Amino acid sequence: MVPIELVWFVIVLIFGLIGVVRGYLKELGVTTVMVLMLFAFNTFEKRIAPIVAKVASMLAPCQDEKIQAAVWVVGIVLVAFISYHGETLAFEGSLPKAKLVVLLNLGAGLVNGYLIAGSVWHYLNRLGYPFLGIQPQDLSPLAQALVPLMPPCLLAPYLLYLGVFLLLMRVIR
Amino acid sequence: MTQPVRLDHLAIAVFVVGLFAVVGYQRGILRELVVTPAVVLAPLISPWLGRVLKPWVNRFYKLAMFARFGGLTTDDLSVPLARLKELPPLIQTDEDVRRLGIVLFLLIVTLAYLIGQKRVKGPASRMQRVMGAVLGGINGYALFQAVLPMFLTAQFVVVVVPAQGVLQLFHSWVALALVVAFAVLVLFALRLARGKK
Repeated sequence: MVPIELVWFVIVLIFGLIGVVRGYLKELGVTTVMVLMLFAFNTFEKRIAPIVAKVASMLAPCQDEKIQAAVWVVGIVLVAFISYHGETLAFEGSLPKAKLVVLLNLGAGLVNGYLIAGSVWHYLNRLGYPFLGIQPQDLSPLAQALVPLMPPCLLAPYLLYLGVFLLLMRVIR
Repeated sequence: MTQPVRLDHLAIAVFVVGLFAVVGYQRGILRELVVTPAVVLAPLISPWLGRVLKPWVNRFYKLAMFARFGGLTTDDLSVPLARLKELPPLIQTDEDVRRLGIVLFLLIVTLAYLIGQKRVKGPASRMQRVMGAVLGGINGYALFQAVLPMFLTAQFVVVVVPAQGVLQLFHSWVALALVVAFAVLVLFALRLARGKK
């Protein structure tokens, strides 16, 4: 079975490549939306989670964790899809023709990959991987070390400031 | 494996003001000027309006429920009327009146935003946009001050995050340094990019 951390690395890398193609101005728009979404999730999680758990236990008492995980994962994927689809919050302007720009594009794409794939991993881990048949205790030491570094844990205190900063940058452009 | 992160009113206020400043920048000062009186007056008017409209809301509620129970189309009118008599009014307690006040407050502010958007011209210059951002921020702060006590009575929100591992592996200053580095890179990248399309 492929280790989950490898899957995560590959997904982040794919997002990095997408960033190279799209350019960092569009990618920063996605970053803004994802940061704001994570802030909203973090802030209202305490209120939403019990409701989701209650509804899940009513719908399928034996598989309530699957439904809970599905709600969080679908939420993240949906917001990511909307923020990638079309212009949305893409920063205005055009990219300069310099080799450094490719690196910036890649970096912005990787950041988005980290935010999206990292958030999905975080919520799956918190609910005990109900989809993938993984036991949390079977995770490799690398995976166990990476889990606390996922965005909802690591960036929690800074999400608000990052969101406001990115929004302000978007406006000033 | 969890650690609470305290999210105080100041942090939420910064977010709300920032958001409204962005909206204000896009709408311009003239449109924001329409909202300001509504934001100032709505908290004063809405509780009084809630008390005044209480009997009317209850009447229309009963009317709607009468229609839902079959209304005039039923063969025996006494059935829906009997059910209607048993039905308690929608707005009963002081808490219900307060909630009605909140709804009215939000309606007034939304209406002011819509009127500004439809009837007033958009920003003609960058200066109007910047002033709109300032006034939008002020409106956001006034709204925040009015709305927050209605929904949130605590002095702060505690968000529980599984952060014990983070503290072991990554000291908080390292995370902060990464965030600051990212912000600096964003500034650099945006400076590098050519002007607007």
